[in-house]
Amino acid sequence: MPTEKKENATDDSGPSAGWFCGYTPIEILDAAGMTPVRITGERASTGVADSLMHTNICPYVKACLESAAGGRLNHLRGAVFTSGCDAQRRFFDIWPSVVPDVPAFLLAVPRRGDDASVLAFAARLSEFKSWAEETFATQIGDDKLRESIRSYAKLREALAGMDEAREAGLIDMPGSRAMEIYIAAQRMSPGAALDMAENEVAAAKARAGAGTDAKGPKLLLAGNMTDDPELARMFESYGATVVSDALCAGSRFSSTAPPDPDIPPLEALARAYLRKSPCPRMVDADDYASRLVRKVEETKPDGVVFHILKFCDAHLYDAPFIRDSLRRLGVRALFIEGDYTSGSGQLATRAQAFLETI
Amino acid sequence: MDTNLKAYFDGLVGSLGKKVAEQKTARRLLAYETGRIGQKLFDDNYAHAWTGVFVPFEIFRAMDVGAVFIEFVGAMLAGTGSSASFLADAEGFGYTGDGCAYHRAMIGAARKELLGKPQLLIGATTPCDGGLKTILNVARMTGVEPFTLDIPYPPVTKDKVDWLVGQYGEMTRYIERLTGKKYDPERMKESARLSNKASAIVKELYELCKLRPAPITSDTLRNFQIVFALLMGGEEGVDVAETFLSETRAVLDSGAVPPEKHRLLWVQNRIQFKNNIITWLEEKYGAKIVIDELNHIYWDDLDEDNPLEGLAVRQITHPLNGPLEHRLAILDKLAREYSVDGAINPSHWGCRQNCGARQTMKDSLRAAGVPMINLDVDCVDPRNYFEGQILTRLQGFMEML
Ligand code: SF4
Ligand code: SF4
Repeated sequence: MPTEKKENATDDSGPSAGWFCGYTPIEILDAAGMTPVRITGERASTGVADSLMHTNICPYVKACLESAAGGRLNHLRGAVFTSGCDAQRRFFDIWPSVVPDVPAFLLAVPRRGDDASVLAFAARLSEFKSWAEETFATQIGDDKLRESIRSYAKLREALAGMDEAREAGLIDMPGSRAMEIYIAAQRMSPGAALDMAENEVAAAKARAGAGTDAKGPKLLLAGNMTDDPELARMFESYGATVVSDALCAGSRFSSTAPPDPDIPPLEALARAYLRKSPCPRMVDADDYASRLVRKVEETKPDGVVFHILKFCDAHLYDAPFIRDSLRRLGVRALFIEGDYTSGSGQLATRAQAFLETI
Repeated sequence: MDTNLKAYFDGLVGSLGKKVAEQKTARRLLAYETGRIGQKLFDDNYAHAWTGVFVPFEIFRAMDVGAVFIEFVGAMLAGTGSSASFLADAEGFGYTGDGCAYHRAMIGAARKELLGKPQLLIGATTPCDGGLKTILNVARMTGVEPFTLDIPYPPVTKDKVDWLVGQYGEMTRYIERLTGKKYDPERMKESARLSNKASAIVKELYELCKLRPAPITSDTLRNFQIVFALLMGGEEGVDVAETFLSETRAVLDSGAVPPEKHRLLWVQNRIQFKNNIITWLEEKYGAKIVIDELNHIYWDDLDEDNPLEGLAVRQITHPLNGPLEHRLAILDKLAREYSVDGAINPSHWGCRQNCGARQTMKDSLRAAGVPMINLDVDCVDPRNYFEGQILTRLQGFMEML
C-alpha cells in the first residue's frame, strides 16, 4: 500500500533528497535524479532536539531535528531548507553538526511576488540548481528540468482534481485519507505519485457510486505544517467529515499553477511558486484571511478547524485577525495550538465539544 | 503610562534638555536625542514612521521622516516599568504570549493609540519573522499602508544589491506618495557623509573598549548602537558619538578607569526593565560587559556618491540576517578582539532567531575558548522574572570563569 506511513522513507528505490518547506521547487531535485522527500518529524520525544534548541521553537522542526540527530535522515543525499521561518533557518544552521555527511542548501525565498522578486528568486534557483548539480554529480539541462516541471504539474493537477471531487462529494475519500495521499505523494517521484493518486481516486469513485453526500458536519482543516492524518481521523471518528483543507502539506502543495513553458524554466518556476496559494509567511493577515474566507464560501463547511503548531510566529501573530474574519463570516471555528504529537485527551474533548456546537 | 506618548517625550526632552545644558554627559545626550526623535513622531514638520529594527535610517533622515523601530517602543515601555499592562492587553486581544514581547508590547501600545497614528509603516524580512508580522498587523489596526523590504541573504552579489537598491527606490517613492516629502539625492549624500563621520567616531570609541581595563562601565554602552542607529545621518549622531568618545577618553586620561576582573560579551539585547544583574555582576565579581554583540560597526564607509548600494550591502551583511555562519564569525571576532572571558545570552523568550541559535552560538564560542551562558529571560516582560533564579545560575557561571 503506497500510502502507508513510513517515516521519511521514499517509496521509490532511487536516491533521495529531503525538503521541508512548500516553497522548495522540488522539480529541481527531481531533475537532478533525486526523489524529493518531504521530511516530516517523528511523533516521539524530542529530548535531543530540546537540548539543541530552546523549548519555544516549532515542534515540527524539533521533531525533524530529533530524526536528524538520531541518524534517521542519513540516507538522504542532500537536504534543502528555505528562509520560510526563523525555526527552519536555525535548523539549517544546526544540520551540519547532526548530519555532517548530508550536504544542505538554504534557499532564500522572497516574500514579495512582483517581477523584480521573481527575477531575484530565479537567481536563487540558479544557485540551488548549481548546488544540486554539484552535490548529486549531475547536469540539469533545460529539457530535463522541463520534463520534471511537466511531471509535477500533472501530479498537482491530479491532486487538485481529487480535492475538487472530495469537496463536491463525488468521491468517497475522507480527509484523513486525502492527507495520507498528499504526504505519500510528497515522498515519491512525481510519476509514481501520479499513479498512486489516480488509483486512489478511481477506487474512491467506485466506492462513491452515484455520488455521496458527506456525512455529519463538514469541516475545513486549515493551518500550517499539519501532516498527521490522525488529526482528521479524530474528527472523523466523531462523525464529522473533513471535506477540504488549507494546509502546507495539503492543498497548498497542489496550488502551484503549471509553470509557463514559454519562458526560461527557472524563471517559470520562480513565478509559479511565488504565486501559489500563500502561507501567512508570504502575506499579511488580511490577505491570508480573505483567501481562507473565499475557500469557506466555496466549500461551505459547517466549521473550520484551524490547527497551528506552537511557536510558529508567521501563523500565531495573525491568529487574532484570522479568528476575527471567520467570526464575521459567521462560521464556527476551533483554534488549536498543536505540539506535533498525535492528539491528546484534552484535544479530543475540545473536538467533541466543538462538533456539538455545529 | 496610558495616555499619548507626546506628553512623555515633551517632558523627557524638557528635563533632559536642561540637564544637558548644565552638563552634557554622553548617556544624557543620547537619551535627550532619542526623546527628540520620539517628539518627531508628533511633529507636523516630519513624516511619522514606525519601522523594523534594522532598516536604513539614513534614508529617513534625508527625507525628514521621524522614524522609530517598533521594538524601541517595547524597550521604552519596559524601561519605564509600564510594559506589563500593554502586554496583557495584547494577550487579551488574542496575541500569543509565546511570541516576542517587544512585539506584543507594541501591539498593546498601538491598540491603546499610545503613539498616535503613523503615516508610514516600513518593515523588513530581517532579523525575525515576528517583526515584519507586527508591522503588518499594526498596518491592519491603523489602516496605514505598509511597505516591506525583502532583504536577501549573504553572500553579497551584484544582483542582490541591485534588487535591494531597487526596493529602496520603491520605498522612497512610497514615502513621497504618502507624505509629500521629496527624495533629494543631494540630501542623501549629506546623510551618508554624516553617517560615515559618526561611524568613524564610534569605531574609535569601540577601540577604547578593547583596552584592559576598558574605560567604561557595563552600562556605558547599554543598548547603544541599536538606538544610535536612529540618529545616523544627522548632526546629532555625530554629536552623540563625539560626546561618548571624549567622555571615554577623559576617563582613560584621568586614570579613573573602572576596575575589572572579568570581561564579558553580552549577546543581542539587554534586559530592558529594571533589574540588578549588571550591578550584581560588577560588585560581586568585578565583571564588566566590555562589548555588546550589537555594538559593532561591521560595514565599510558608504560611498557618498552612491550611498544606497552601501546601505544595501550593510543590510545584507547584518549579522542577524540569514544563516548563522556570519554571526558566529562576528561573535568569535568580538570575543577575541575584546579579550572576553565569557558571554551572556539572555535568550530572550519568544525570540526564535536567537533561541534557535543559542546552542550553536554556545558551541561556537566554546570552541573559541569562551564559555557562554544562556539565561531564560523575557527582556521586556517583567511578569515572570525571578531574579533569584537568574542570579543563582549566573553565580555558577561566574565561579566557573
Ligand atoms: S510550522 Fe511555522 S515555524 Fe514550523 S516550519 Fe512551518 S512556518 Fe516554520
Ligand atoms: S528580540 Fe528577536 S524576535 Fe524580538 S524583535 Fe529582536 S530579533 Fe525579533
